[in-house]
Amino acid sequence: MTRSLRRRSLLLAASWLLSAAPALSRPLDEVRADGTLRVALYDDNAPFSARKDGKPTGIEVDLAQALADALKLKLDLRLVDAGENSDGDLRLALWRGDLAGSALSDVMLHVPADRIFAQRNEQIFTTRPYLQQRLALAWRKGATEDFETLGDVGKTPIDVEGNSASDAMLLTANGGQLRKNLKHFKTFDEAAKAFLAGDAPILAGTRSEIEGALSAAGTAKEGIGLTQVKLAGPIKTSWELCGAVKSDSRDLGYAIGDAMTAMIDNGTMKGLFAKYGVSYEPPAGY
Amino acid sequence: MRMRTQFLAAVGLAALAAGAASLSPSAKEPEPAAALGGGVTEQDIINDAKTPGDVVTYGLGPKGQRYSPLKAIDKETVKTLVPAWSFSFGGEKQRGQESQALVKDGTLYVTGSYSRLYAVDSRTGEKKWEYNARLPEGILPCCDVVNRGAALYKDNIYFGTLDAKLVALNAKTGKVAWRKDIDDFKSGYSYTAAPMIVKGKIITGVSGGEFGVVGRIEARDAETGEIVWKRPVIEGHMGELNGKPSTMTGKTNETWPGDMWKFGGGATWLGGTYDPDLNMIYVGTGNPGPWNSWLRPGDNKWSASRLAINPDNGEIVWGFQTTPHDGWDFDGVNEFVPFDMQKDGKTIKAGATADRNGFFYVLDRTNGKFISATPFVNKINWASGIDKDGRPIYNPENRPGDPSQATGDEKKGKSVFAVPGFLGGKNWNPIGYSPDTKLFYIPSNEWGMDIWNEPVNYKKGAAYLGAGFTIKPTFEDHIGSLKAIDPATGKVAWEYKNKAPLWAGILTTGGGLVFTGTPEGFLKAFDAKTGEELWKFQVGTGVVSSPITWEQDGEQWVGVTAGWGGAVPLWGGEVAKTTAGINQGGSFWAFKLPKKVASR
Repeated sequence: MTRSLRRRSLLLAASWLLSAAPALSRPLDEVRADGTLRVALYDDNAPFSARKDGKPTGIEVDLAQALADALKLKLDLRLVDAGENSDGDLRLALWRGDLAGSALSDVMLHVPADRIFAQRNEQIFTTRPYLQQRLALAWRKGATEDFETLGDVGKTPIDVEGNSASDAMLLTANGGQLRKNLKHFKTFDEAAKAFLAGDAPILAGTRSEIEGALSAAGTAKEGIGLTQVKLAGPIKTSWELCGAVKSDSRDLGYAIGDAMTAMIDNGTMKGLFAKYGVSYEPPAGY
Repeated sequence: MRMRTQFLAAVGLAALAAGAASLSPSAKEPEPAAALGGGVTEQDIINDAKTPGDVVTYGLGPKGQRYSPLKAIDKETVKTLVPAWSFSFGGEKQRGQESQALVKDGTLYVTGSYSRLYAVDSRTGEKKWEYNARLPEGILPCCDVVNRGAALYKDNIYFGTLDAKLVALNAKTGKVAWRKDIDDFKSGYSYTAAPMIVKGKIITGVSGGEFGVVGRIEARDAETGEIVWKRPVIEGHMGELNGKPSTMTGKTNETWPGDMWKFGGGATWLGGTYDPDLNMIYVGTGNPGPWNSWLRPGDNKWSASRLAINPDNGEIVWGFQTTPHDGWDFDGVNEFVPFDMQKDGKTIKAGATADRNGFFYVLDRTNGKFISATPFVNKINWASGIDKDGRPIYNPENRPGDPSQATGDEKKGKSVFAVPGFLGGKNWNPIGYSPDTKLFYIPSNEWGMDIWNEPVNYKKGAAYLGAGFTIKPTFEDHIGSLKAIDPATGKVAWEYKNKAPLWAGILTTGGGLVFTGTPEGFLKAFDAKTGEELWKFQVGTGVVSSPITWEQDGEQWVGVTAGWGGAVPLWGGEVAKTTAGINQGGSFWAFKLPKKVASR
């Protein structure tokens, strides 16, 4: 029997025992005993988590390390591909696993903090939120006039990642009037590169993505305007992000939440974002 | 470290070596002379429907009629049909066995879920070899772990894997000849259909895919695996022939707004059929993206369509769109089955398809011209009919709402109840045609769906516009409905009702029988003329595959893959109640008549 096969049968045994012996699903004491915190982050999700020369880098990579440090644990990081929706990503990363029988993680970050979302994903427990995320538009000064609302966009082309929050927002905004403005790219990274190379005068994305891309490219901030989107369409233009653990590992979730709160309070969180040129906005009610 | 570069080891290697040893020339089973002369030929493939001694194609012939002239098993003798052997796929990977088996020269080839392939002695059920594809970590196939079958050509057997690879193996030894990427599984691509061999080329489509997918058909040299041509199915995209750009599909922006054609969907995930006389491949294309039709005004060609393609160069000969501007997830992938139709004293080279959208279409297969479309499920309400040009007469109030007009706290917009539901009046499971009865046999399902915009949806941790839906049975007592339909009139000749949804393919025979399976675990035989149920056998788990029949040592055999799974159990609600308690399994069953009865 090969090593990986053994690991698969171990996993199966673990999930079978789940109902009888919750201890096996790694709440805090198990994680402590093992000494390792297994954290799942998205691949290709700059500035939060991506690879540079094969090595994980980004705000949430640093945040995961800081959380492991705070809990006095060794970090075991895995970058996972995003699936069709966040619900499925949590299923693969935290509680059911993938077809190949890959190891499960204890924590996943970059999870939406949303009451309805949490209710329908009863296998997971979400931590306190750590970030207020917002949709934004960057525009090249000189190439387009200043604008305050989407109504001011007119016929100006917009670079945008297809199938993204910004794409859904722009496709439905103003009764669909902006559809013909959109220049779709497979990833935000490609959209940002096109924008920075002078493609469209406007780039759509989350505020963090845009700031991170500008910073990574060393673009002078003076030449670029940044407008947050305020819109009453069907797509949320602002939401909070939190962490998630399996539902029977609440104590681990609380410990992670406490560590995040401390990092927000003492300014560490802001510093993590600043390192990547991204401004930090704590979640509402904070 | 890139986690996904670590692979699960193939457990098949040891079994493979053992299998190869038992296949040495000293093996006691004498192989027919034809086997020594280079395996399956082009002629074997073209003539498959007329040579009941083997099954070398998906569909029992390139036209996919699923008809065998064998008649030893008939309305009388079928009552005594008994199992001859059963072969277990083994291991923990039980679920989702949708494979149609192939038989050639004493070997039965059957694929299993999770990208496995088995070669079995077709007389005894003993395993000859087994191949387990190595599935990479992080693999995310969208819709279950199924595989629908393999293709035989010359000395090789071909099948596709869940991580979107095409594998060619030596049919005698199971040794891999080559392995090629169809696409990148990391982008959500997968492969579950049975490949098709046409004039020395292996023809495939693509399954799944997230944003960025555009369906395409590809032809490769079957011996080397090298690409000969590519045909994207969405307008504006350039085809490829012998490594050079060929022609554009359609005309940019004719039926798509802005640049949305670039990522327009149309996944070609169910393979196709082939008419050797007309030299045309017939393939279907999936729904357009994004799902909400309001975001992409226009017909969105050639999503939700049937295309006839020239196998020599990948040029589109004709296209027919069953659901222009699809808003209900009515994939147009369902098989197009060529047949000759007698109407008004003339023979028409026709083709028929039972679409997801609930209508049974008959087209002129030489030019794609519309002949007729009639409902094959009840209470269709997304359209009130199909007009004389083959275009749906939409019911606008049953199109899911415009998200930009959505109101209310959760901004769901208007929820509509549409029939059929997104799993379709008929799903992937193939229809059959009997040239004896001149009827088509359609394994259909009677269900609809509530569908609405779902704003509480997140992708990669960011808000996104999804669809919310609930599938609902149309009738209280059944969902599955096997119907015999006269293609000349569209009239239903008979119907068999099944409580659970039908998810298995059809087999028709010269013995006047129709075989199909049920999720409840039965392989059943019906009188092809009257629909009377004549025989059934419980295989111990749900049947969601296509049965075959073949002749061997002067006897007629029937075989079917067993193993509950596929898309149905992935959805809950009322439908789940009809399939609750069905056990998992993974096996192949072979049946024949007792010797005494057969010789009577």
